Amino acid sequence: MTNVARNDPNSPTDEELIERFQQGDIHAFEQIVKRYKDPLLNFIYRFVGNQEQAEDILQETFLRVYRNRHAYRRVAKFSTWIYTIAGNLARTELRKRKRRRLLSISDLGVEEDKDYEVSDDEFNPEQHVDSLLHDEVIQREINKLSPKFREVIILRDIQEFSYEEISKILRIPIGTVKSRVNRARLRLQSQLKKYLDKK
Amino acid sequence: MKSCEYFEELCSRYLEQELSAAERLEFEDHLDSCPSCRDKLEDIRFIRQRLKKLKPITTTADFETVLRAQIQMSKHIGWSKVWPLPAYLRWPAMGLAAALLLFAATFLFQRDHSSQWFPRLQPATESFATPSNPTISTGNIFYSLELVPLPQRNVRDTGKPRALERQDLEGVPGGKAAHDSVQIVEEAREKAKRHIRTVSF
Repeated sequence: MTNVARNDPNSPTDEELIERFQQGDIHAFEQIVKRYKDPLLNFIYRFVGNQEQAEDILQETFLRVYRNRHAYRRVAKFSTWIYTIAGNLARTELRKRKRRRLLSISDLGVEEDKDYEVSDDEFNPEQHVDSLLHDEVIQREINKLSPKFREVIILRDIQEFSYEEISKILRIPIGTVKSRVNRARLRLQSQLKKYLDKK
Repeated sequence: MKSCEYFEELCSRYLEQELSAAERLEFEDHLDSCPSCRDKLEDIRFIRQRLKKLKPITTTADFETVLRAQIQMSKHIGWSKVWPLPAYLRWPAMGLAAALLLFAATFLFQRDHSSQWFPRLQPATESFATPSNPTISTGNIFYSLELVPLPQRNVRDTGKPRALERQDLEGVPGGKAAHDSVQIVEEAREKAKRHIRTVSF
């Protein structure tokens, strides 16, 4: 996945845009925002599972790019850099949420993940499997994966990054990425099995 | 005979055609004899296709307006918000700030209590006061650093400070004259204090 929203080959590359922005061209930043806002939003949304929070994290991601534009060096691809920022912010959000959940469980003795419980009413053997596997169901099951599995499966199977790019974004070896992706797929398959058996 | 767990590890590599010819053959042989692994592989293949078809979401209409406003705001709220410290540095930074404050408070406190470590400002006029010339002018007072604690205080075995008395200096060469001089100095200082305005530095 390169230059996510660069449809016109004559348009500047991401790296050219960030360089222009580093030299003070604010329009280059606006172009970066236009290119990346939707792909990044989808990445963050699949990660945190909540659109409003995803948009907040996306705002923060662009703010950080704006403030730390001079921290970017051309040795790395811009997409890798911005996805790393967004991924770190999304992980921080998940950690905060986990802390809050632990607190609420210890305080009230209730499970906060109740929203994720799947009602049996949603099963309908008559329906085609595509409609059985609603986006919401898939998202709910993605949310049940641990963050380290969640991020690799989003980057690989939804955002379609190469293993090498994922390795750079997450700063882990390619071998680790590959084995993590495989385990994440097996885990998701086991979680979705109850829906898939109804095919 | 290799276990299903072994072949599970190869699932992704098989789907992404990264297995060697020999591995691929072995994998497919296993699939032929293991319906469970075959189903699992089919499920994974299906899920991958399904994940690609997830409906993308888009940002709300005012996203860029809000972002512009946030950037403008961040320009006015100072560096602490613009470059917030990472979480792991926040507590040490607060500890350091507290230690600095404590040090500053101790310094100020010590300045008010004569100490060799923290010299305080003294009126220079007292050096001109002698037994023969006990009167000093307070009209033009200069300040000098007091580098040595004044001898009017002495700590005895009790540990409590008390005023140094004339008889304490019995046998000390020039001791009584020095005591008289100190008395004059003290009187002059008291007199001077009444005429000194607060000076800030």
